[in-house]
Amino acid sequence: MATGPTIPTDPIELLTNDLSREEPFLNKHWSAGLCGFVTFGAVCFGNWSAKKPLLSGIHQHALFTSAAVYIGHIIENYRRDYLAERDAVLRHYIQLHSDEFPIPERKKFGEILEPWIPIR
Amino acid sequence: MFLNTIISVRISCGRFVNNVTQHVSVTYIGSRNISGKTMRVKAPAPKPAPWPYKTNRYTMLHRFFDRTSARLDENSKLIVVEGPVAAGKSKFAQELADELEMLYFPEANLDMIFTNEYGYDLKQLDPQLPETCRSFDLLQYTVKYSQYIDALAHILSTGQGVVLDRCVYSDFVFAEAMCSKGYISREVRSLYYELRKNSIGELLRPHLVIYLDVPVNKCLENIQKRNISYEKNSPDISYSAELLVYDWSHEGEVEVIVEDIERINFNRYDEQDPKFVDWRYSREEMFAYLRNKYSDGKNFLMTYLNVPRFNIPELLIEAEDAKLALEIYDNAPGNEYAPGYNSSMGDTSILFKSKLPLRETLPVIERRAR
Repeated sequence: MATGPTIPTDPIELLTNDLSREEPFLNKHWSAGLCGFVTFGAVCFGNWSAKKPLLSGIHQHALFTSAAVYIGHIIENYRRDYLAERDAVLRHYIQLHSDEFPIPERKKFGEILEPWIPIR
Repeated sequence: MFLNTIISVRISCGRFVNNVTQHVSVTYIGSRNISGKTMRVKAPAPKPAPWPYKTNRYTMLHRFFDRTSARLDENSKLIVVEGPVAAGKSKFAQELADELEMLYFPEANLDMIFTNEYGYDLKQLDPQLPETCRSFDLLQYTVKYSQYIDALAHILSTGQGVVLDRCVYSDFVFAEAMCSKGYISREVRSLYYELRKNSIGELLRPHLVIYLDVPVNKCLENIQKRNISYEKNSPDISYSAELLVYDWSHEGEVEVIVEDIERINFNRYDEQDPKFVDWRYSREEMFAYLRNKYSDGKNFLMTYLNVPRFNIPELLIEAEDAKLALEIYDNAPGNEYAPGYNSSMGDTSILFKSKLPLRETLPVIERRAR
């Protein structure tokens, strides 16, 4: 049986980062990487449409791609800040109203599903 | 005074020369007339260095720091030499340009547009191309139009005058002649006039037209008369420009004509005067606008010739033929990439190059015998 991270049942634990797990590289950099990749392709396309060799003016490729990577980082940071703030607000609300958020009882699907009786 | 009332059309200058030499240049060199280098009394006033219009843009911002009229002086004129075939126009035009210190443009020819930036003649490819896609003579108008834009850009950007050997305004003579001899159909002629009507209003008409008239001999007299009648009856040339007509059957002296030119009064500031009306503006902005239009805006001006006509079967190209022709043209030496980017033609440092030519300036190629 496959073992993975245990599923937290406590809502506060659910909204808190698990610092024991290292975040994957792709997860950290996909946003900047995608921006850079698309921009590099766009500069190449511009060269192709102007009938220039694809890699001519390589300093422009470097300039625009690094700018795009930087902008991708800014977008990613903004997104992370937004989500972190949202989680913090939710955690705070749960801490203030802990009686409204009891730890749910774990059930199996068999207990949730009702018996199916075919009626026509 | 005699010289102030010079008539616009003067025939056979020999008659005038003796009368006028007594007046000497002193009277007229002082005024703002065209002056030749031999008879010039005082050196021309200093002016800014010529603007490199082939490589540098002249934008709205430049207008504040670089005034166009600062370079324009009495010799910043557009002179056109016209005449029948083999009249000695190009030799005369070269000598005239040398004497007036103007720039000589050789007669527009198809080699100018069918030769690429690396000197490869694309007309060599004609045998490989489908029959509908080969080079054709209707482009004569395109070349002359393009050359005329270059000439205007040169005058407004550098202040140097230009001597043209034939120009776009007289090109319709060839279309008429070809149509009457059956080389082109009436539909093509109508397309020609549509192109002309669509594009020619964008240009500034010349200051001076010199017609070198060569009566060939009696048996060709009728043909010759007909050819010239297009020129002489052309309403807009002598209306807006000065016109000098010379009998050039025995090749006259260039100096004599230069003296005639020096005596023409180009100072006409009356708003109602049709002469040089294209060149008279009271505001500096108009000169700046025109300079920008002809130097930077050439590629746009050339789009005025994109007139689609689908009722002329001989000008239509099948899609397969067009694709084939495009492939052959793209594979010609120097056509693989934009000019300056072909490593196969010896271009270097392509990796760090990013600029394209600002405008498509016609190469200077003399008409050569085929």
